[in-house]
Amino acid sequence: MGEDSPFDHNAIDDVIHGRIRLGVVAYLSAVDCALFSELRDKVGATDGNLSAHLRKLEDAGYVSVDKSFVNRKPQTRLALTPAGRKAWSAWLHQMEALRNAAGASSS
Amino acid sequence: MTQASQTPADDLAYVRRLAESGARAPLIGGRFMAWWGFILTIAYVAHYFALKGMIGDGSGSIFGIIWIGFSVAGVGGQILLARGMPPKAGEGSAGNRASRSAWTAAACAIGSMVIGCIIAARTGAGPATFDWIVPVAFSVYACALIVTGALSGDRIIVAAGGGAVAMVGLFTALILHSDRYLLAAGGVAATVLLPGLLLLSREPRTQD
Repeated sequence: MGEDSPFDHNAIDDVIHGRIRLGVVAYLSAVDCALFSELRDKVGATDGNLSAHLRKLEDAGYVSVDKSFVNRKPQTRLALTPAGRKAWSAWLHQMEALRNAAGASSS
Repeated sequence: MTQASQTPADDLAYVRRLAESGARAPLIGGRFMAWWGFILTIAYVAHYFALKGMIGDGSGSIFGIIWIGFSVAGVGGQILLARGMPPKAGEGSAGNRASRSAWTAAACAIGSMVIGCIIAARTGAGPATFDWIVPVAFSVYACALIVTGALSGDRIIVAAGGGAVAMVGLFTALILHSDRYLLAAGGVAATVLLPGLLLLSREPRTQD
């Protein structure tokens, strides 16, 4: 992209731009909450890998983590926070801008 | 994010697929539909037998026994099923949230009509008032089935809702017919029991 490009690389949110984190945010954007194991299966990550990515999202304030016991078994529920929804919306906006910029430079 | 072998279009397809899988998660209330559909089918068949004089002593108390038994068994089974239900993937989807709200509202509406009919029957309206519970019940089943089926993208549940819509008119048209409760039993089996069993068979595995 040139300097006059409408697309700004720096505007992409690094916290959610990783593939697994993006998958997590995309899935959580469509539900009000999800179980840890449900997310793990959806994004195809290991428990440890997903935990590390969730910690980054939680530290950024994008995901809330609720740990409880159900039938004496530990259960972790995750949900997108308002800040997370805003970041997801901004990421989609950036991707749209990238596509538009790519379309403008190729024409 | 994009890896060497992937294009931005692949990335967008990936996030779209994940978002859609959340939005279109399978419905997980099949066990409750199957349970209520099962006992309601039995109750309607028993009511039909009572109307025909095949069960009961002819005093009318058999109807009370049937429907009080139905209520106690239904609520008891509901509590047991809810307590024993493990966490399921997709329970936070729009379809499953709508399903819980819609069926709760449906149960409340039917309960309200039952109370109203009991009061009306005690103040001289006669037992025929109770027959109108059936088309009202099919109306609320139709709403619950069509809304949850549409939100979860499940065409069979939407079709079951269409069947419930048809049952409203059919039962009303035949409300003076002696076989009307046999018709109601068939309608409940087709629109609640069988779709419930289908949902149960397609439920995602238990999550830990």
